[in-house]
Amino acid sequence: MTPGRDGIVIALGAIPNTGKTTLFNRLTGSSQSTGNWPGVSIERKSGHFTLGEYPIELVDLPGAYSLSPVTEEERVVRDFFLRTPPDLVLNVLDARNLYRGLGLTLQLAMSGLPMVVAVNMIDEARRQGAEPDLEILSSHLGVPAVAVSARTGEGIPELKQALYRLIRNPVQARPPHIACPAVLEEAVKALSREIERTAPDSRFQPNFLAMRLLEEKGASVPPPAPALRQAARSWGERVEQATGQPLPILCAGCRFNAARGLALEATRRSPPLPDRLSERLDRILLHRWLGLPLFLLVMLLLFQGIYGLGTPLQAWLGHWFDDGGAWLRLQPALTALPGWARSFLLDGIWQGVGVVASFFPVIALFFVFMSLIEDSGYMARAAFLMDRLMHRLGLDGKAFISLLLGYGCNVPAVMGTRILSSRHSRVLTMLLIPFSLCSARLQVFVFLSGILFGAALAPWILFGLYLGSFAAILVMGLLLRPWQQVLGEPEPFIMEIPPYRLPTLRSIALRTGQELKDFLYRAATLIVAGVILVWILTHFPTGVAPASAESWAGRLGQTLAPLFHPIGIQWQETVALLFGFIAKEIVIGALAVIYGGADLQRQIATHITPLQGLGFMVFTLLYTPCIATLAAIRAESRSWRITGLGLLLGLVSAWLASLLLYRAGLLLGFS
Amino acid sequence: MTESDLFLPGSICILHSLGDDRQVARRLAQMGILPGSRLRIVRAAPLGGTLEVASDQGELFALRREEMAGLDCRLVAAPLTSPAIRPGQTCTVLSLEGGRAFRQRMTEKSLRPGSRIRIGEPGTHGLLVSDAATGATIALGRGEAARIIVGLTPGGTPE
Repeated sequence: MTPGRDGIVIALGAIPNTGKTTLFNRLTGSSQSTGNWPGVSIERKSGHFTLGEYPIELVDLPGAYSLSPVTEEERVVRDFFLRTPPDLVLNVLDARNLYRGLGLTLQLAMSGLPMVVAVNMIDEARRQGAEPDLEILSSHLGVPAVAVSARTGEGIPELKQALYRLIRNPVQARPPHIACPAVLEEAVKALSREIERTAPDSRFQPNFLAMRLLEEKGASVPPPAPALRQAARSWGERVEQATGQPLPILCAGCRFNAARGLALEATRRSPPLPDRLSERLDRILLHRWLGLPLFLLVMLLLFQGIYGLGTPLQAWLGHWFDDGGAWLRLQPALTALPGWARSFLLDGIWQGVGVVASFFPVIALFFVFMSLIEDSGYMARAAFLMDRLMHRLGLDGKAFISLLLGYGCNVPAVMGTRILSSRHSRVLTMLLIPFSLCSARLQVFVFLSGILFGAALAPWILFGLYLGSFAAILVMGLLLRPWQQVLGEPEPFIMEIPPYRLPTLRSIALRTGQELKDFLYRAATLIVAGVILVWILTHFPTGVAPASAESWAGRLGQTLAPLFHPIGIQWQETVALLFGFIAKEIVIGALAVIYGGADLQRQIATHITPLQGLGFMVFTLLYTPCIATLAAIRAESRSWRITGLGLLLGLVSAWLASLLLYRAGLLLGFS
Repeated sequence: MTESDLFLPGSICILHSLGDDRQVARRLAQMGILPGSRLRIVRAAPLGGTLEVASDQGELFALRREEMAGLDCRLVAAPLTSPAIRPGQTCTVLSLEGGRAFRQRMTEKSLRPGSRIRIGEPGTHGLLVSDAATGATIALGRGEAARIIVGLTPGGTPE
C-alpha cells in the first residue's frame, strides 16, 4: 500500500458503546486534531501515529449501527465510507456481546476493503468467563481479529502488528457470505452483474454495492446511474412483495441471523450473561422511589463540583487579570503610549484575554465531571429517568443535564450539548440554555434587588426571576420545537443502556485537555473580537469620557431610546446592557462608570424606580447571551444562522417580557 | 385499557413484526432487534412514559411506551397484575421477581416457578388465587402479585 498525502487512512468504525473512543485515544495519544464533517455540526476527530515506516491518519467515525443511516451521524459515516473509501478499516467489537456489533462488522467486511477487527474489553469478557474464540470469528469474517483491552493497553501491540501486516501486504479480503431469502439473493446477483459491467474498477465488492442499493431503495451514495437505480427499485419492489417485509429490515435480518450464529459459535454461549453488578446498581439507582432523589443528589454533587470549585477560581482569575491590568497601566512602556492606545491594549485586548481565560477552570471542571458521568454509564440512566419530562419539550432526557448545568454557566453547558444524540436535540438545547439564570446574572440580580427592594423582599424577587427563567425555557422550547427547518428532524429515541464501568483518569484527562484546546481555538477569537467591539463603541470618538453620552455607545443608547423608553430603560442602562454583552456581571461595574458618582447604591436608587429595576432585571435575564456563550453556540452549531437566531430570540423575548411587566406594573399603579 | 398498559415490568413478549417501515423500526432492526426476538420489560421510568427493555441477545435499551405500542410484540409472560390476565383463568408461574425474602415468603404460600394457579377475583387490597392442584386459596398483596410472572399463550391470554 502506498501512503497518500495524509499517510495511510484508517477509518475507525463501530457501533456506540464498544470503547471506540478509548481505543482511538490509546492508538493516537494526544496527537489528535478536531474539525467538522462537511456541512454538518458533527465533530470530525482524527489522530496521527506511525506504524513502522508508514505515517497513519486514524479517522474516528461517529458511532453508527449500520451503513444505512437513520441518524445524521450515520449519514456522515456512510458518505465518508462510500465516497472516500479509506485504505483500511478498523472495526471494534465488544467481546462481552459480539452479537450487537456483528451486524455492522459483517456489513463492513462484505465491502471487500482491507479490514481488521479489534475485539475490545477482552479482560472484562475473560472475567465473566466468556472469552470468544477469535480464530472462528476471523475465519468466518475473512479478516484478522485481534483481542484487545483499550483500557489497560492489552493487545495493542498485536493490533498494531496486524494493521502493519495488512498495510504491507494488502491481501484482498475474502468477504463473508451471508444467507438471505432466495428472491433477495437473486436480486443481489442480478444487480451485482450490472454493477460489475458498469463500474468494474470499484474498490467495493459488487454484491456489497448491490445490497446497499436495495437497502437504500436506490438512494445510495454516490448516486447510481439512472438505469441501475431503476433496476434496484423494481427488484426492491419484487423482493418486498415476495417476502412481505420492508427491505431495510429484511437485509438487517439476514446480517443478524448470520451474526447470531457466529456469536454463538465463537462464544459457545448464547445469550451473553447480563452484567450482575449493573443489574444490582440499577435496582437502586433506577428504583421507582429512590431513583429520582438519587438523581437529584448526583446533580447537586455535579453542580457543586463544577461551580462550587469553578466559580471561585473564575473570580480569582478575573481579579488576577484586573490587578495585572492595573499593574500594566503603570509600566513605563505603556505610560509612554497615547491614552487611546493604552486603553485599547488594556481595556480591549487585555480584558478580552481575561474573559477567555476566566472560563478555563469552569470548562475544565465541567468536562472532568461530565466524563465521569458519561464514561461510568450513569448518563444513560439519567436520560432514562428524565425522559418523560423532557419529551414534552421535544428533547430527550440527556438534555435535562445540559439545561441544568446552564444555571451555573451557559458556556460549558452549550459545549456539553455534544453529548446529545440528535442534531434536533443539540440545536434546541443550545438555543434554550441562554435563558437559564447563570451565576453571572445572579450577581447582577442580587445587587440590584438588594438596593431596590430591601433585604426582606429581595429573596422573593430572586425566586420570581428563577421562575421566570424556567418559564422562558418552557415557552421557548414549546415554540421552537416544531421548527424543523432550523432544528432538523427529530430522531427516534432508542437509547442503549450500557453496563456501568469505571472511568479511567487517562480518558478524562485527554478529553478535558482537548475541550480546553477546542475552546481556545474556536471561541477565543470571537470573544476577544466582541470585547474589542464594545471597547470601540464606548471609547470613540477619541477625547470623550468613556461610555459618556457623547461616546458612540452613549449616542447609540440615545438613538435606541424610543425602543427602550416603553420598557422603562433609560439610555444609561442601555449602555450598561451593551457592556453586559462581554459578561453579564459587568453590567454593575458599567453602571458605576456611566453614572459617574461615588456611591453607586445611592445613584441606582435615585435613577431607577423599583418597577424599572424589575424590568431591567427581566431584560438582563433574557436578552442576548454573553459573547462567550454566543461563541460557544457558534463553535458547536457551526452555523451563523443558529448563532444569529440565539441572539435574536433573546433580544425579542427580553423586550416583550419587559414591556409586558413594565406596562402591567404601571397599570396596576406601581412605579 | 390501551395497548401500552400491557407492558408492565416483568412482561415478556416475542417480536412478531417491527410494524411499518418507520425510523424506529429501522433503528431496532440495525441494533439486531428483529422479528423473533424476545423482549423483556425490565422496568418503567419513575415518571412513566419510558421503558427499559432487555433483548434475548443481552442488549439493554430505553424506549418510549408509544414506540413500544407501535411494535407487534405478543405477550408470552406477564405479572399477575396485568390486565391481560382475567379471573377464572389458569396459568403457570414462570418466575418470582424479587429477593430471597420474597421468594421464601412465596414458597411458604406454596408458590414457586412451575406452580399452576387459578386466578380469582381481585380484592380491594390484592388478588386471590388458588392452587390449581389442591384448590387451596392464596391471598396476594398487589405488590406481591406484580412480582409474580406467569406464562401466557402467544395470543396474549393465559394458557
